[in-house]
Amino acid sequence: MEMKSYNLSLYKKHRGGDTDHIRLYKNIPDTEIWRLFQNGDGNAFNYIYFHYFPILYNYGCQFTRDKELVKDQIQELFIHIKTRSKKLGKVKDIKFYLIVSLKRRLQKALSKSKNSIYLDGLMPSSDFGVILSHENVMINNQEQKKVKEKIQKAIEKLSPKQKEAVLYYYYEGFNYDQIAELMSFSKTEYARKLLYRALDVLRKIITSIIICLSTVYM
Amino acid sequence: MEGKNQKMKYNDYEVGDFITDDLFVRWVKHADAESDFFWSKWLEENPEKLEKVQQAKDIVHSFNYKEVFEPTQDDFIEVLENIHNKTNQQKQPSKTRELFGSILKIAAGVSILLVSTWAIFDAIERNNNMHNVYSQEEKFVVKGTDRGQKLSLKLPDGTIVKLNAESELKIPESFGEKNSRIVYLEGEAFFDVAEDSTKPFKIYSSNLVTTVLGTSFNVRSYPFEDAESIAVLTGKVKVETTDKASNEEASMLLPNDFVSYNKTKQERLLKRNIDIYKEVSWTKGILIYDNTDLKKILNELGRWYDVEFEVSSEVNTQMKYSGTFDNKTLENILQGLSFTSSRFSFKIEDKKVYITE
Repeated sequence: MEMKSYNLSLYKKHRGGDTDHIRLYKNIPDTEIWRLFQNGDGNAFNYIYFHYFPILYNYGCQFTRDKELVKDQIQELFIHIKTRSKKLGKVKDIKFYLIVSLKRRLQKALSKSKNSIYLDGLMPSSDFGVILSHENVMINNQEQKKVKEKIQKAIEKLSPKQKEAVLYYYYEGFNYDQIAELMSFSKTEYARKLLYRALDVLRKIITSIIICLSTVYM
Repeated sequence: MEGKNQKMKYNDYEVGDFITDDLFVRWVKHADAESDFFWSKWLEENPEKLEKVQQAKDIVHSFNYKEVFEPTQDDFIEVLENIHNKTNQQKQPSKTRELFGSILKIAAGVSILLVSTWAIFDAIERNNNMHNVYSQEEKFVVKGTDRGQKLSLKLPDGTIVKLNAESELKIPESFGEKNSRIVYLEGEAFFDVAEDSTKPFKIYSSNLVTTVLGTSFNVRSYPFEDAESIAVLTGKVKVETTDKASNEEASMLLPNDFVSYNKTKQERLLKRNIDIYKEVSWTKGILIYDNTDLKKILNELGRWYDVEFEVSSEVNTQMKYSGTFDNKTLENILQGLSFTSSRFSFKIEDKKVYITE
C-alpha cells in the first residue's frame, strides 16, 4: 500500500512550479484528457505519464522478472503514442488502453527471448498471486479478518487464469469486455464464465463463514 | 433505469452476494452520478444493510497483487528522458530535471524548519496553552498539507500518521528521547501508534493532550471549528485538557469511545460506543455524512478539493444531508447531494463552486 501514497505524492503536492497543471487533470474524464493529448497538449501527456507509469510498471513486473525489459517496453509504448498521437483513435479508458498495449508488447518481446518457455500466450510468472490486504480493515476487525483469510485460501486454489481475471475485475476494475480482450478470449462470454466460476466460489465461502461466525455468537 | 425488482433483490443480499454482483462492483470501482444516486437512496431505505455494504466494499478494495513492484525515481526520470530525446521535443533533459526538481523534494517529503525563539513566541500568541511545552531553539520537522491534500507519514518509532487536508504535524527533533514521544497537531490526523510502554506517545492539539501507549485513533482539531475531538479505534487512550485551571479528571477512552471538547463552553464530553467508522473513514478517502448540515459538509468539501463555495442566500445551509462517498470527484458528490429531497443547483468553475436554489 506504500505504492499508492508514492504515486500521489509525486504529482499532488507542489509549491509553485510545473506540477500545477497535473492537479487540474485529476477530475477530467479520460476521453477529454486523451483528446487534449492528441491535440498536442504537453501537460496532458505528462499527466498520463506520471499517473500511469507506476501502474504499468507494477503490471509488467507481474509477468517477468526482467525489469529492464518492462521499462523498455513502457518506453516504447509512450514513444509510440507520442509520435503517432494524431493517428490513434479515441480512447475511453486510458488505463485499459495502456495496459492492453503493454501486455501485447511484453508478449511479443518475451516470445522472442530464449528464456521464454510459454507456448500459449503470456503466462504470469508469479502465478498472479492475489492477496487480500488487512490494511483496509476498519470495521468488524476480527470477523472481517477471518472472512478475508478464508477468501485468501480459496483464491490459492483458483487457476492462474482465474486469478488473473479476479485481479482485473476487483483490483484494476475492468469490465467483462475489457477482461476478455485482455486475456485474448474470442468472446466476452468466456470471460464472464471464467469469472463466474471464481466468484461463485468466493460467494459460497463468504456466506458460509458468516453463518459460521453468527452461530458462534448466538 | 433500475426497476422495483432490481431494488428488491438487494434487500436479501449478504456480503458474498454484493461482492459478486456486477452492478455493485461497478459502483464501488467506478461510481457515477447515476449509480451513486441509486445506492445512496437504497441505503437510505435500508439502513440496516449499511454494515454489510461496507464489509463488501472493504473486501472489494482489499484485492491486490501479491507482489507489488515500485519504480524508483531514477526509473521514472530515465524513461521520461529517453522518451523526450527520442521524440525530438523541445524539452531538454535539463527541463525534465527542473520538473523533477520539485517533485523529488516532495517525494523525499521532509522540510526541516529551524524554529528560532522569535518564531516560538509567535506560535505562543496563537496557542496560549502550548508555552510550557516548547523549549528554546527546539528544532522541528514539520509536515503539512494544503487544501485538497492528504499525507501519510511514518515517525521514527514506527508510528503511522495520516494527515487530512489543511493540517500540520510538528515533530520535535528530540522525539523519542528521554521518556516520551511528543508531537503537535493542528487539523486532523489518524494515528496508528507503535507499541512502546516505556515511552508514552503524546499529541498536543490546541486545548487537549492525548496520551497513548500503542493504539490507533483519530484526532480532529481545526482552528476554525468550534470543537476538538478524539475517536478511538483500538487500544486505550487518555485525554485531558491542557488548561491548568480545569480540575477535570482525565478521560480514559476505549475502542469506539469518542470525546469532544467544546471551545466556547470549555467543556469535554465523552460518548461511548459510537460508529467509529464515520470518524476514520476519511483515511480511506471515504466521506460519510449522517444528518450533517450543509454548512459543515461544504466546509469539509472545500478543504478536501481545495475549492471555495459561494452559497446564495435562498439556500438553507442548516439543511441536513446523509450519504457515503467513496473516493468520489467533487462533482459526483455534489450531484449525489443535490438529488435528495431538498434540491440545490451547483456550478463548478475552476476553484469556485456556486450553490443556488
